[in-house]
Amino acid sequence: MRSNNEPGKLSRRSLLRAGGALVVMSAAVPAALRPSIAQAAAADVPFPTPDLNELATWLTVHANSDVTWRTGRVELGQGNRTALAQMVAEELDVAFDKVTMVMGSTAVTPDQGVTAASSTIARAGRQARQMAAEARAALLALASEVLGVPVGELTVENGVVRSSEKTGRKQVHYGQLVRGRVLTAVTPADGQGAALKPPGEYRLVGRSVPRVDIEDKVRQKTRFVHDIRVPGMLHARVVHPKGIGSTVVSVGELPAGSNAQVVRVGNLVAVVAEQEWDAVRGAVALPVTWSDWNGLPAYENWPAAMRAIPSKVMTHAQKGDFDGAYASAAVTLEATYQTPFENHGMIGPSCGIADVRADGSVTVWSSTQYPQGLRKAVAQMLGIANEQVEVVWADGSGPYGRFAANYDDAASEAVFLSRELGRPVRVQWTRADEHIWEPHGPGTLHDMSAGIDESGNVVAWKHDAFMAPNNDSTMLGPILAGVQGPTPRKPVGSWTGPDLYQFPNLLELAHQIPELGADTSPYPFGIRTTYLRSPGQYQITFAQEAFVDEIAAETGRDPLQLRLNLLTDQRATAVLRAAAEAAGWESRPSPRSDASTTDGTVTGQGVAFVVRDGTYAAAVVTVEVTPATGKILLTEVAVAQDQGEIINPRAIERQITSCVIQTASRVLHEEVKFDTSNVTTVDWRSYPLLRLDETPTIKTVLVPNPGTAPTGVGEPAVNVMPSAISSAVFDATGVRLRTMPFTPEAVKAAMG
Amino acid sequence: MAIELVVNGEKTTITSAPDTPLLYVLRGELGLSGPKFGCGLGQCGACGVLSDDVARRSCVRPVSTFEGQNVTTAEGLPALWAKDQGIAEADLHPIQQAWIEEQVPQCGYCQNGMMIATAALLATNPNPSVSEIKEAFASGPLCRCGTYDQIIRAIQRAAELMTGGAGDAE
Repeated sequence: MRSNNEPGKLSRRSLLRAGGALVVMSAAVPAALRPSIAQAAAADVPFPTPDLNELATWLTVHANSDVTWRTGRVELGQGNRTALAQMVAEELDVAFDKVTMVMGSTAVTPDQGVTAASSTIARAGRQARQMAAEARAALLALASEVLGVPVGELTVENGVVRSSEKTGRKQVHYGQLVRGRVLTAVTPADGQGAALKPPGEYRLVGRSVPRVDIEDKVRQKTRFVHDIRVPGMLHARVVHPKGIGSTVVSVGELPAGSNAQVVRVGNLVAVVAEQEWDAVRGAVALPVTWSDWNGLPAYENWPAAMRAIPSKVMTHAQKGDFDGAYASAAVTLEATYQTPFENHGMIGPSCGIADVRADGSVTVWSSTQYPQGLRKAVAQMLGIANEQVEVVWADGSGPYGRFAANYDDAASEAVFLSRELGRPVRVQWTRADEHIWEPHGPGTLHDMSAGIDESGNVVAWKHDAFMAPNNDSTMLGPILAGVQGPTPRKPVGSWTGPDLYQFPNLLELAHQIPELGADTSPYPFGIRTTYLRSPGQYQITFAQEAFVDEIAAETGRDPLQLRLNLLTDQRATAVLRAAAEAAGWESRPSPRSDASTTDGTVTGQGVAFVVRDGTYAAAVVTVEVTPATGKILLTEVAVAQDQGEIINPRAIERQITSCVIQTASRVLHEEVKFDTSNVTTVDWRSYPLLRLDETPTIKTVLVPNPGTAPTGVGEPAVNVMPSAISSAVFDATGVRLRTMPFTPEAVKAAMG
Repeated sequence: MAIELVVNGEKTTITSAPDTPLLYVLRGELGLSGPKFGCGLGQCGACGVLSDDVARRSCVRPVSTFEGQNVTTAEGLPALWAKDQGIAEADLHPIQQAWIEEQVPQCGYCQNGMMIATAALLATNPNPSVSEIKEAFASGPLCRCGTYDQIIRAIQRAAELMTGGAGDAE
């Protein structure tokens, strides 16, 4: 491990803190390890054995009353560092600024699983609360002894325990209680620990506490992984294969006078240099001949190609007799929806640093969404023990799933280059590397069928989805280097989310398609596809919600009212009503009576609803469509959301806004294209993002529901955007858009 | 042949080759981290710097083209404001103050370029309307996290602070 394990290297801060502590850990920490973990936590040094399961977490109250909570979860730019600190400070009754969050790095935080799927507040937050409540109970018990006053006569404010008037108004600070000793407390299993604070007594939770990371980000003090420099470090650019399945035929030489050096490990070809620009220039100039590989279908044929691949069919839901009900329905509807391959589109392309040392130990610097997962993967790709690998986590460019299953391609490449060169190596991907080689969001197809009876009721519903995988976990480093790495997950496309519409006869199927090109590639992947913000649900909800609108139009009903009739869950109807009210929804069938594909500019409204990660969200989108140019402008988006208990209202509103703008970009502009060899959308011109001038007016409504545990807010509003936009365009024009993205060219073509 | 330029108020002699893009000089030779590498193509704006009052994309312009100019990175915004106001020093530029007040950043990677673009806009239009802001930012910079709505608010707040004098140093 790193040298800061040695007593002589303790930081000054650690020495100051070594004056004693209360360390709270979960019952999952084996009893034999507790003393050594407590000593390490008290002194703020790396743990002797950080390789514990996800329930193991540590909270430390130091002798100066500072509180440290260590979590394997990481900040992805969405504010969970702040929200978790709010929850800890609340339960412990200490000032917010007394709580320090230590995140991610594997030497000092436990394995709490991957930071993804909007699950951090719901899961890690619950653990944080329990730890803090346990700490508070332990400190009150100590204070009771020290002050000679029963616990029932004690109150806490800002980390100071005070006794009641009748017991003499004595007081003691948390820090004083732990000074000079290391105490441990253990939380029992969920629900059996110290009682949590009643929500009515909250003073921090529920408030828009400013995010703790923002000032540093504005002052440019945040060290992104891209900004980290390690002594002796070389800069590398990787020359990636020409085609997805190409292998090296030959590697030429750098031009005379180049200050760079070529490194090759199997099919991993890189140019390294002391100065970054020398590596950049070298990589551009290096002649590499790759084998031809043309295993992808022609782009316009990918939907047909996906249907033609033999696939496993998963039944997501089945109720009643779809076939019978559909056959006897008065009216039947069929439609096919399509979503494209998409990019995570990190503004900062992948960057990772690795230092593989002669003694066999390894340090990796990464902005991964799962440091402990990356640590194990690096150990596997080098054939060494987990204990020899440390992953230092750093802030990165917003990943939105980029590093959730694929923990970090660039870092995995840096590992092999560093091993080869015996020096720390920083791999920075180029824009084209990222656009071409990031594991994309999967393309999907959805065959929808509905049977309607004579009274307009939906009696049969079928959703047959064809989905490329959304869980690719391959990392390029070991695969290109030709070593046995971690075994990739079995690729599948997943269907998530409950079905809340009460259709009597229902069949929902998912054809799990392997990656396109995987059958002929020498590597264990084709066009790589993995989790992208609200994976699976985003595509499913687009088809489902837009098709509900098609049914509303077919039966001449208001699309909002149809949903209110079909939904029995009151949280669902409450968010729909709140979004409609905020938007000033016009109650009438779609399309509007003056819908047009020829007028100068037409406007329309669209509504959609979802349950995601336990959170209920509804959106009403208002659009302006210019049929002559095909341009869709979102003028207003109203989102109402019920996420149970509200931890930080502004942070939630920011996540809704983020979902609205990012998803508008995906729906209106984004599409990864490829030829038979590789991806051809290589930059922000060929794969454009929404720009600031297209920002709609956004209204957010947080529907209060304080009695329900908090659920995720990073994804739900993503899902309501595609169908609400499609339905708003339909309302304005009478034309239904079923294939994303809704680019001007596509819209013009659809308007005929 | 050494190149001389002024970076964040300090006269600097550059030893990198003259055709090196300014971004690599700022980050590599001068150890600054505000300007970010985003595309290397001049498309995304994460590498933005001010050259005098104009926003430039430093990833594609050779350092030699900045010879003798005043280059400001986001790190240099407080000093730039202090100089504008004729005061000894400022803790934050009003643009930064507005960015904090409006809690703009999500991941924060693009925000260097956003604040630099804002400084350039406000230098020519001290009190822009929403539509003028949209027009000025129609060619970027790009944000992936979806902070555009907050950026618009923060630009207007910065304009208020700068014209009202409320954004003074502490």
